[in-house]
Amino acid sequence: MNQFRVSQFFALLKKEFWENRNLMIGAPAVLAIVLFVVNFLVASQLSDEQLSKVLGYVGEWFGGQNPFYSAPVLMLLSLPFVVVYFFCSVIYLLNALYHDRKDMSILFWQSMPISNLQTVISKIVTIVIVSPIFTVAAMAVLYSLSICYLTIVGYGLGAELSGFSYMLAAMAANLSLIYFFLATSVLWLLPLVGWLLLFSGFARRAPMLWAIGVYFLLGFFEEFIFTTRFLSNWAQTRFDPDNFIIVDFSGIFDRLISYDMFAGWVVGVLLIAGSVYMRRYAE
Amino acid sequence: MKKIILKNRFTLLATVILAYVLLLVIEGMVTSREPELLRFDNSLFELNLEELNEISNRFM
Repeated sequence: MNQFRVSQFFALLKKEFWENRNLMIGAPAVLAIVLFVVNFLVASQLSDEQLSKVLGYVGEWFGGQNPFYSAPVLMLLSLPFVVVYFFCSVIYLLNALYHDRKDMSILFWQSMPISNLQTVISKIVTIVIVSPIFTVAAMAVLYSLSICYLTIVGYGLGAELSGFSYMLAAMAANLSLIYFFLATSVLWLLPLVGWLLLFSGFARRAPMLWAIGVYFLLGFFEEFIFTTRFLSNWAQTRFDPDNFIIVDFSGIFDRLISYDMFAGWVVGVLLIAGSVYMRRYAE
Repeated sequence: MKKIILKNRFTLLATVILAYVLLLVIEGMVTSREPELLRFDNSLFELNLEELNEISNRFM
């Protein structure tokens, strides 16, 4: 593994970023702006007395608490970002191998000294490590702006704001929790990632229809012909909210070191290997 | 064998899907995997939607 290979891989990650900056930066940034405006409008609807009481209560609740214990409370605020992240990730994965075949730029990339394996791995690294950074960055900007606004308003109203420093620490802990949550969730959903990449590399048009349609057809035929439910059981346990959602730091390690994670990786690697071979058929 | 699998994109897709289905079926048989999607356990209440059928059967 020489330095050339490393710099080559970084170049691939940069390419992914520049080609998909609307999904990675644009979507969370727009959401952050919308949420800030909504928060501002809600705060402006309250009277000074109500706002002072709310700020005092929030400051009192966070005051003196260990930020790692109070960070999960803020998970609810980050829910819209998580939903947007997963929505954008599905779009990204479906287009990842489809677009460069559609605009024929695959012929250029295949003429470069880059293997299909490197290309596919760069897309997975993008979705696991690079993309969550921008989601968390957008949340950090929203949190900072919101806390600045509330501090200024609270100072003007004479509210008790000593707990806000603890709230700031809880927000920082929450941001790191969200980053690891997003990264481990994609690893947990590696079979889905592989499935989407496989059909992104396969379909001549409408990769989403192929990906969804084939899965439902397989499940239907399995239940109709063999009267078993192995495929749907697998999908349901993968998307089970109990397995899926992490609300504290210990949950990250519990998920990473588990049989289900290992089984998901085996299935995911099989599908990703299929998508790597699928890139041979560029025509 | 490799030539047949890599003959065209359809044979490759069929092979990958076949391997995927076989893997899931074997894994499902070994672990007796059952979905727990219908059960909501938390500190406030416990709800198992599978039990709703039993409850409705009692009244039928």
